[in-house]
Amino acid sequence: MIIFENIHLRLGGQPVLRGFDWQPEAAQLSLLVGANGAGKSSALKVAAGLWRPDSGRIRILDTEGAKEGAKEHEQTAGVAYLPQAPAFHPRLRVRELLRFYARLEGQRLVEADLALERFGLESHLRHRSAALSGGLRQRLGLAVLSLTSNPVWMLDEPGLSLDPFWRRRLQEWLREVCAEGRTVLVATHLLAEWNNRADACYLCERGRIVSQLDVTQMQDELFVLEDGAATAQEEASG
Amino acid sequence: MNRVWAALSLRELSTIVASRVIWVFGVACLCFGALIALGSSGEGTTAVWLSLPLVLYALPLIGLLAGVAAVQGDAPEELLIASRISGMGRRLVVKWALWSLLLGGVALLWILPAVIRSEQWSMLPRLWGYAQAEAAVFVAWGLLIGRLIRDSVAANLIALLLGFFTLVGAGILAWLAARLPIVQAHPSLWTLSLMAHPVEALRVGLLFSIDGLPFDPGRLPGLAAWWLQRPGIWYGLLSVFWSGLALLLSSRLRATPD
Repeated sequence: MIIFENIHLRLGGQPVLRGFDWQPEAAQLSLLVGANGAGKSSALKVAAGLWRPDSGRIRILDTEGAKEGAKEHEQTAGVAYLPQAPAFHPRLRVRELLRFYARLEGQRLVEADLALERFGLESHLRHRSAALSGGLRQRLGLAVLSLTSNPVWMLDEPGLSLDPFWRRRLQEWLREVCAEGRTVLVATHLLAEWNNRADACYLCERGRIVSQLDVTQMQDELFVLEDGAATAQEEASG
Repeated sequence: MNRVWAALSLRELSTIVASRVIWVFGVACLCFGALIALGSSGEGTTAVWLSLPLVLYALPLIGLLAGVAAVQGDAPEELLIASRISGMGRRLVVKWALWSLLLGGVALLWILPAVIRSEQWSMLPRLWGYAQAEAAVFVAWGLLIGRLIRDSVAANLIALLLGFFTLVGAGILAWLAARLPIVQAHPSLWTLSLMAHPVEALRVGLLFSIDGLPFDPGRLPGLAAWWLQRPGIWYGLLSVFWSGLALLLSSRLRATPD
């Protein structure tokens, strides 16, 4: 389980996260939605240890440890992160890249080959990453993610460059991952596609979580919220 | 912990094998090595003279470009890697060590024919050691440039400019400085500037000590005499200093891109 506690972050002098508090349920698939610049990706990068927050902290609790009294980890330990539109060393081949991450995660090399198959990359294993399309690179990123044994997974816009078939496969796979006890957080704009496929959905606005949405009608609900925000803005300016 | 080192090392080896820089350098060394091996014999041809173009001109430039390529190849993948390996220290050390070793290994394609041609086998370990130490310095500075300048074209351009300045510019400055009365009053300062320069120190060390250009330590200023009596040790220390400084600065830079 992961807990975001009152995270504040400024980038280039501008506040990006302003008291970001979030405690998604463990072993569930939670969506983080919001407009561009709302702070979704920044929150994930802070949790992944890529950016150091100005204040606040991230706590990652073992599911088992929590029963014994909440064992706290180092910030990045326990979190696996897949950035938006992942890219790779252009001269390295698909198999070399996957084997690198398998070794890094302490997995056997056969796991890398299985990940290749799981994401339909067998016919591309000798291709350099520079030769892959955006969708193939995304699938390679997912294959890399699948090699981790970390309890918390965070994906930033994972379906953006995938075709409908692989988007559906992605959602099914993430459901399986949750069923194995992992906590999965997905930052996304593709709300309608996740209807009834996520366990929870949280709306991020101006650097903090402002509400929880109904996962069965997220697109509609978000429109209502956006309309309300626009009306409030008009009233404030007018 | 060991698995991170192993994973990084194997990845870097794959990167080096796939690098155009190393292949271009390898082919160039092979060609020059073949020319040396097939060339006609002449007086005054020593292994040092035959290897000078490599260590004075080729290795510094290639080392800088290799360092830039080593860092910038990872740039698109930075977020993924940085979210799995905290800090840059281990990554930089692996890149520096492997790229330097491989460049030094490839340089043998040039040095070996020079040694064979001149039949000066005793010079092989010393020449190779100098080339290795020099490669270490310039790969480290290439890594720093690659980390400082995100744009690949600009980084390579700066690396080339620094390379040319190291080859020519610093020598011209030293030559001009030698004419100043204040420098003439303190010759040790001028000697020190030569000693600290990673190419000039190599040039002087090679020519005076290994190639046996005659000099009388008793007639030289103390610092110069000390240096020329221990050029190998000095150059090793110089290599460690310049490499360490560049690696330290590189690791202090912000670890991840926006």
